[in-house]
Amino acid sequence: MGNVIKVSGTKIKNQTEVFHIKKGRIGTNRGFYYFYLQNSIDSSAMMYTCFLSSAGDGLAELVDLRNVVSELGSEIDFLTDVPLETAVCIKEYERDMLPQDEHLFHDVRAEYIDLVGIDWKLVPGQKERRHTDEERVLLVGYGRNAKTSYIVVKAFSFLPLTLFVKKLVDYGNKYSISVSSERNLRLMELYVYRIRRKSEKTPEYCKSLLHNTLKETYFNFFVECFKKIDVYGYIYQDDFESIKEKYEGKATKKEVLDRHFVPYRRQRIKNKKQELLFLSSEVANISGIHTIDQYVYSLRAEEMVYYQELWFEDFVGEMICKNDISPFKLKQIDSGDTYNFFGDGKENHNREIDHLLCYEKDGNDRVIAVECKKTLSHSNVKNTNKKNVERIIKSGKQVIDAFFYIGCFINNDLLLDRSIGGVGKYKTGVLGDGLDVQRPYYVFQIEDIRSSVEKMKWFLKDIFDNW
Amino acid sequence: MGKNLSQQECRSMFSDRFATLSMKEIGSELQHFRKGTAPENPSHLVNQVEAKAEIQKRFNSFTDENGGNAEIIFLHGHYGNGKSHFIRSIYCFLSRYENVNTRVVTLKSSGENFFRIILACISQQKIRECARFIYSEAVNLTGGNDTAELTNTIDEKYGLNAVQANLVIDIANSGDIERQSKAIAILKNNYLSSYLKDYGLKKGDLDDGFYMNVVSIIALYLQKTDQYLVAVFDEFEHVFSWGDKERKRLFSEIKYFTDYINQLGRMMFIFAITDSVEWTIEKDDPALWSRIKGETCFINKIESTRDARALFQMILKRYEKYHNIMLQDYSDDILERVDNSLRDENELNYRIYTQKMMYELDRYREELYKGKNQHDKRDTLGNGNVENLRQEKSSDGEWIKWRQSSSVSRKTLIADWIEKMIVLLGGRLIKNSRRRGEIFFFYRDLEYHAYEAYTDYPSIGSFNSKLSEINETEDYVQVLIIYPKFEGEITNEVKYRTVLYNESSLHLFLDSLYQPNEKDLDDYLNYLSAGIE
Repeated sequence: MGNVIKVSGTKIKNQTEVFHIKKGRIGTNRGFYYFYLQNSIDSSAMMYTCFLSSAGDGLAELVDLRNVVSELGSEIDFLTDVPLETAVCIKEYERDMLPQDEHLFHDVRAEYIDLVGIDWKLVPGQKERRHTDEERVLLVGYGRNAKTSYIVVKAFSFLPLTLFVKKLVDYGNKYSISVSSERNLRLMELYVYRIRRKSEKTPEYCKSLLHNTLKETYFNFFVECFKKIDVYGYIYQDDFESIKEKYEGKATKKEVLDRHFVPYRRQRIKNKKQELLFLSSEVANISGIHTIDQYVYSLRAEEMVYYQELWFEDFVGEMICKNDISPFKLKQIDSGDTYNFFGDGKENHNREIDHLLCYEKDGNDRVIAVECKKTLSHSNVKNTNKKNVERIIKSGKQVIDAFFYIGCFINNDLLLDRSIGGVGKYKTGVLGDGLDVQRPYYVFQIEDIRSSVEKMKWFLKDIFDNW
Repeated sequence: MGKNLSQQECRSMFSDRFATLSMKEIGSELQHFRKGTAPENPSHLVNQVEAKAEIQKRFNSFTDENGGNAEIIFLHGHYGNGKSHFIRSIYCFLSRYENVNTRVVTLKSSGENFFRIILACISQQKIRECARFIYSEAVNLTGGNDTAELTNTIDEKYGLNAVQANLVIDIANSGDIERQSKAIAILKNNYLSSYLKDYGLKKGDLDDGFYMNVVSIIALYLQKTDQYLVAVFDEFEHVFSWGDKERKRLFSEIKYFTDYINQLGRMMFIFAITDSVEWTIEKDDPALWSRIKGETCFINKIESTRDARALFQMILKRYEKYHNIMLQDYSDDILERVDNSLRDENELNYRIYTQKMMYELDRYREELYKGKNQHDKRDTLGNGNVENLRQEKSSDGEWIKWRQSSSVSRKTLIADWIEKMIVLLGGRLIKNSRRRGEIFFFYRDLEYHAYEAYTDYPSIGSFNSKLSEINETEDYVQVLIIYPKFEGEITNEVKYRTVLYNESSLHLFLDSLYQPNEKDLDDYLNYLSAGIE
């Protein structure tokens, strides 16, 4: 059984519009109105505290905090005429509840509270959508101590909570009131939609490969070798020697260049139907070989599997974490998790995101979803766009601000038609054309680490300025 | 710290904010245009010159430093012609200012009291600030906190009666959030009956005069603190669905209000009304009409081709930026399609035009995209080089490519077109360095070195910079500089032949490459420069 709230007083505005009594009408006579929440309340997910401060004495008393709430916009209105004392509410309505019951007031750490209703018809883009009871009501509490004033919000859905906090922040910006919080609301909401964490971990024996590819001076060496491996599965000995010669120098050490690529004996085995290519690492003594082209170089088996399956995602994640992209600060990175933004449990709405980044600048956040593809092509960009539209944009949840598609190699059929002077090329577009939610995407290649970081900085600036 | 509204600031009320729009804002506007609804925060209001001028005039008077006047404006217009757009433009503009309190009011319930409506526009915060202001002044005057003395002082100085003074003192000083909230509710005429007992009041004590007094004191406070209140009443025509008795009472209250308008220097009320043949204020209440007809301005219908073009250009600018596409050259074609599609419509308004324009822009973009895809496929086969250009029968495909290209690619395209020109002239190519923009060739026994460039932001500075990169020492070489036209004139002496092009002349030049007439180099360069040299 959910919570029942009894609020005394004769006037709760538009009661029948805001609260829908689901299991029979509990009572509207004698001036009491009730609402009944069907679903259990996960208090920890929906409690949010905003700390307010201003230069003058505009927030001197609790009534000033209430007045701030009254100014947030016509879509946010009090359902209670005067604020209720929290201790009185606990005493009156929760005295007889059992410890295991869901409590409404116990955890609201504020001296006075109001019930606040949201009129979604007045919110842009929400007029046509049907809203649940949980989306139409908030508990808002006011508190002060010697150091600070705060507004506590207890919400039963992220939609009204996000609206309320955004309005509060906008109000603060206009009237020079600082509004801050210890928790990141965007991330709170994102995690509600997360259904699965990443299970694979980078094997210990492959960390060395990852670590060496992340070094600026070695990156291009590895990429050249990988390019060959992607085509043939191995590198011819003289090609490998040429590549090493190109990169061997003060900043690169031979032992590192040699560490990951081992020689294999290449044999062609013919039978009646086909020719098989066979690589064997049984090379006892290279000096006993008579012809060079019998030997090729490739990654060790376990590193090859890692390279094919996990390396590039790990590489991108580590590159992002290790490089400073000031003035944008990386607040959070979550890798390989699966989300369902529709919250409907349908498999075809699940979306695995290679990396979810939260960047902050001047108190504002942006969340970027990163897709890593070792080789980017026109078709995989098109397919990724389609998935992002179907599984993220169309959910209507405005939790992701932009998308990055990052590749190590670029197929000929993909045209990166824009350029950032001196840094490199990229492609961009907008997802959700014609829909209410639209978001930009940026496609680029990692040609080297430095320029990739510069590109990300440029894109983040565009996202923060324009989206 | 927010800005303050002033007469100077009001001049930019209807300026086009396109330059400051983020992509998200542009996308949102375009989405509204598709649906035929007003954007939440409109960036530009096209046409409506007279209405805008009238509103600006009223705001000039309202924000006059020497004592502005309170204003009432009735904004009339027919369905779909941009009333909401107008109101939101004004509202959103004013909302940016810290010293302007803005409200949009929709008259939903029948029989609403006008003073209650006005007081609903005044926030609880403002009532509290006003109370603290009055209280603070009274304390300074009396030198103490004695309630009786304070009450008398407030009465003398502000003309508030004892009840009103006590309410003010409670709001400012009681420290009890419940008591303060109740007192504010009484002053806002939004109270429960039970609150009146605390102040020994009866409902009859709280009449129009009581609330007119409250409104006046708020107006005084706004004046002393350099603040404004602007309330916009949207869909005012709803009053015509009220009963006669309620509507007449409302009109009577508005008339009463207008008698005291001069006391309300810092308040402005804008009423937006959709006109109808069935009901007008003039027919319904001639007395009210006679008082307010001087305060009326009209939103015009879309009636001329010029109006339609202005609307289209506003939408096009945003569309082009958002979709990174150039459609200006196709304007006539698109507008023709719009006009054709509207031929059978009985009633034309801005909404219908806006929706149709968006529809045709979307269609055009899709057609161009399909055309580009066809072209890209050919490019993949032929590597997009001059050989392919030779095989094309018209310049359309190349121009589509130009439209879709980045500045880097455009430089390459120009190089390819110049190379085609050399082939058509029967010249001999020496080198075509597309990346450097250097095309060297022989033509009629002379050696030419052409240096071409493309930039989105040509300027005299960038042109001079380009010149400085050129190091030609041989007298026999004919040097050509091909550069985008920029603002201003070439000030330094340029010893090379310079051809400045713009998009139109470039298109002409491209077309000339597909026309069979005999031409020489000067002919082609004349197309390219189109008279600018």
